[in-house]
Amino acid sequence: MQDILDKFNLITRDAYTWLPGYKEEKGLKIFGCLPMYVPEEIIHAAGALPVILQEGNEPITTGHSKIQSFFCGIARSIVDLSLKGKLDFVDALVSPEIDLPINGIANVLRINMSIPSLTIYQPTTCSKEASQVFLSKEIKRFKSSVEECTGQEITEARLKESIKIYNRNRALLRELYDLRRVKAGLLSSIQISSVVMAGMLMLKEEHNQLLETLIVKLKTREATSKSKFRIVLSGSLCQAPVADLLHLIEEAGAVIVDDDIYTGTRYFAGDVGTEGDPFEAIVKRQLTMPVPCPTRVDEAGDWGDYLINTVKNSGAKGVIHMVVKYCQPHEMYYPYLVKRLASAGIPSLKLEIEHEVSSLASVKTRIQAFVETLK
Amino acid sequence: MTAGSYVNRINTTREVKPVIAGWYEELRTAHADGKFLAWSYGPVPFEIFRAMDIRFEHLESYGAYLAARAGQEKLKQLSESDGYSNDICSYARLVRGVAMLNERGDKSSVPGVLLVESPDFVVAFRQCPLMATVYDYQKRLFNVPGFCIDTIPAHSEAEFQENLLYIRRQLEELIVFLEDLTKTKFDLDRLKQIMAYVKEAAIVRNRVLDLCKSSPAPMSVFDHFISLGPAHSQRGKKESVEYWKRLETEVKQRVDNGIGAIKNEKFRLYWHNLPIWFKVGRLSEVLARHGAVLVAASYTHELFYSHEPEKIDPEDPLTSIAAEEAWQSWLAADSLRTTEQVQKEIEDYSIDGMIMCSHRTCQPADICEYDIIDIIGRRLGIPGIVIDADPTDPAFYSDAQTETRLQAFIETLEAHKKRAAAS
Repeated sequence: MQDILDKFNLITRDAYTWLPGYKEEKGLKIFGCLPMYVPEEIIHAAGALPVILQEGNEPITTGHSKIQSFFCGIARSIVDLSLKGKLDFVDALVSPEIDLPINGIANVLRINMSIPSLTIYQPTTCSKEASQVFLSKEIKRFKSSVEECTGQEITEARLKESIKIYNRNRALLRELYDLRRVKAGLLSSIQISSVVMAGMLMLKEEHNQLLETLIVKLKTREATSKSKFRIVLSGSLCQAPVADLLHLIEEAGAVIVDDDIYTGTRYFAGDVGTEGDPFEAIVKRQLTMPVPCPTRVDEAGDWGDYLINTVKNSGAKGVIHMVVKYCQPHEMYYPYLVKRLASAGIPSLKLEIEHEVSSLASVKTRIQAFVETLK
Repeated sequence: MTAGSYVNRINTTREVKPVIAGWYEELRTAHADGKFLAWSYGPVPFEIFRAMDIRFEHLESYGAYLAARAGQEKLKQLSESDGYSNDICSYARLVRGVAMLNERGDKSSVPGVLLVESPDFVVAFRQCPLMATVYDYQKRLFNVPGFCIDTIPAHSEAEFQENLLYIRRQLEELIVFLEDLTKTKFDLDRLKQIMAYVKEAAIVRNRVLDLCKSSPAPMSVFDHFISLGPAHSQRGKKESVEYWKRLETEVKQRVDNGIGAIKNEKFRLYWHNLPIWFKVGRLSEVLARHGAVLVAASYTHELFYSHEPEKIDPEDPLTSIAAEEAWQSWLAADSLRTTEQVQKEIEDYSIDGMIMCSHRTCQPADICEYDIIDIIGRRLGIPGIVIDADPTDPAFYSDAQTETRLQAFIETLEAHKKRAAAS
C-alpha cells in the first residue's frame, strides 16, 4: 500500500517535472486543461491524455510581466510556468472559460504559447432550455476541435468506453471518501489530496488499477483517528489546498472527514449516463453537477444546503473554508455560507490560501482556537 | 473655463447631474409609485425593462454614482462588517452596503446618498462572470426571483453569431419570466419604438465620437464618461436623442471654431478600461496641465451600441439587443479581438499613447493589458503605461503615485515626438 501512496506522492509533489517523462513513456498527446469542469472523456476518447493544470511549486517571477499580482495564485503560476517553458510538453490548451482568471490565463497563453487553444464553454445558467440547446452544440464543436488536434475520430463507441473508465474512476474515489467518513484518519488529508490529484495527471485506467489495490488494502485497516473534532473542508476552487494547512488542522487534533473542494468531491461527484447518446449524457452531467458552484448560476441547488447536508452526513462538527486569495466567486458567497451554517448551528473558520508562502504561526493559533470551540 | 483650469469643459454635460438625480429619485420611490423594481447586474437589456415599465437599478451605474459621493466609505465598511473581503468587486460591496441599510431600515446614516429600495426581482447579464455571482448570491440573500442571461466568451465571428442566437433565445425566456412576474403583457410595439430611439441616439452619438477625431479634440473622454449617465438612464427615450443632438451642436461649433477640450493640446491619449469614477475631475486637470487629452477609450467608444448602430433593426428589436450584447461579450472575452479594436481607435483618433488602467477589484479588462501594450508597441510604435486603480474604491488608488507615473509617461511621449521629428 505504501508503494502506491509513494507513487501518488512522487507524481503530485512536482507534477511538471514528472509529466514530460510520463508523456514520453506513454507516447500520448497531452491536453493541458484549465480547471474546472472540462469533459475530459472526450479528449480521452481521442487517444490523448487530459491533464488538469495546477499551480507549480516555484515562486512567480517572469509571470509578473504578463498578469497582475491581484489575480489568484493558480492563474499567476500557470502563466509564469508557461513563460518559463515549463509547459512545453503540453500539445494543446483547453479552457473551460468558467470565470475571469481562467479566461485571463487562456488569453495570456493564447498570445504567448504557440499551441492550439481549445475552448469548451459551459453555460452558467443550468436550468434554461436555451442553455441545454447551446451546450449540446458546444459539446459537438469541442469534439470536432479535439478530433482536429489529434487526427483521431471520436466515435460513440470510443466515447462510451472512455465514459466507462471515467465513471469507474469517480466511483472508486467516492468509495475512498466513503471509507474516510467511516474510518476517520485512515489516510492523512495530504495523502487523500495526492490520491485525487494524481488522477488528474495520469491515465485514468492506470489510476483505477492503483486505486482498486489501495482500497482493498485500506478496507482491512482500522480508523487511526479517535478525534471527535470532525471537520468538513469547503471551497478551494480550482486549486488544491496548501498541504501545510492540512497538516496544521490535523496537528491541532481535528480530522477532515469530507470536503467539497475541487481536488476532492467537486471533481468526482456525479457520473455520466451510460445509456443513449454519450454526448447528450455529458451535457446532462455538465448541467446537473451535484456540488453547487459559485461560478455557475445553479437554480436547482444551493451551496449552503449542500454544505449543511455534507456536515450532517459525515458526522462533522465544523467547517473550514479554504478560500483562495483573490477568488472572487468564493469570497462573494462566503458571508452567505457562514450565515447558512450559523443558522444550522455549525461553526466555521475561514483560511486564505495563497501561492506565496505565508506565515503559518498565526494560522496555527487560529486553527487551534477553532478546534477548541468544537469541544 | 474656470480660472486656473486647463480644461475647457463641455456645457451640455452639465445637464447630466439633474437627470441622474431624477433617475435615482424614481428608483427610491418605485414602490410608493406602484412600480416593480429590479436590481440588475452587467449590461442587461434595459430596453425590455423600459418597454414593460419596470424601474431598474443597475449595479455598475449605481456603483459609479455612489463612488462619487462621500457616503461610499460607510457602505463598504458595512459590507466588510458582513464578511466581505475588500478583494471583492467594489461595485458589489457598495450595493451590499445599500442592501444592509435597507434590511436595517436605516435611511439616515449615509447622508447625501439616494438609497435605492430593495428589489422585487434581480436580473443579470453574465458578460463579466462575477456579475452572475453577485446576482446569484444577492438573489439568495434577498430571497427574490431572478433571471440571469448567459453569454459565450466568443473568440471568433462564428462564435459571435452562435452567441447572438443563444442570447436572443434567452431574451425570449426573459420576457416570459417578466410577464409571469409582473402579470403584464409584453408590448412588442413599445419595444420597437424604444429601439428606434436607441438607434437614433447611437447614430448621433457616433457622429459626436467622430467629431473628436479633429485636432484639437473638441471633447475629451472625461466628458464622454459623464455623458454615459444619459446613455444608461435615458436609453431608448426621446430625451436621449435630444441630449446627443444638443451635444453634437456644441461639439460641432467647437470644431468649426478650433476650440479644444483642453488648453494647448500636445498629446492625444487612449484610455483602456473603466473610468476611476472618483477621480474623473482631478485626472482630467492633471493630464490637461501636461497638454494631454484623452480622445478615445474602450468603455466609451466600443460599447453602448457604438458598433454599427446603423444595423439596428427596430422591427426586430430582440436580435438587435442580442447583437449588441454578443459584441460586448466578444470584446470582453477575447484579448486578441480587443487588441484589434484598440489599434483601430489609435489609428482613427491619431493617438500618441495608451493609458491602461489596471482595476484592482474589477478585472475583466485588466486581462492582457501588458500584452496589448507589447503588441501595439511593436505594430505602431505607440507607447503605453499601466496605472493601478479601482473603479470605485479609493483604497486602491494613490494620487501621488499615479500622477508621478503619468508625468514620467508624458516625458516619454515628448521624447518620442522629438525622435519622430528628428528622423
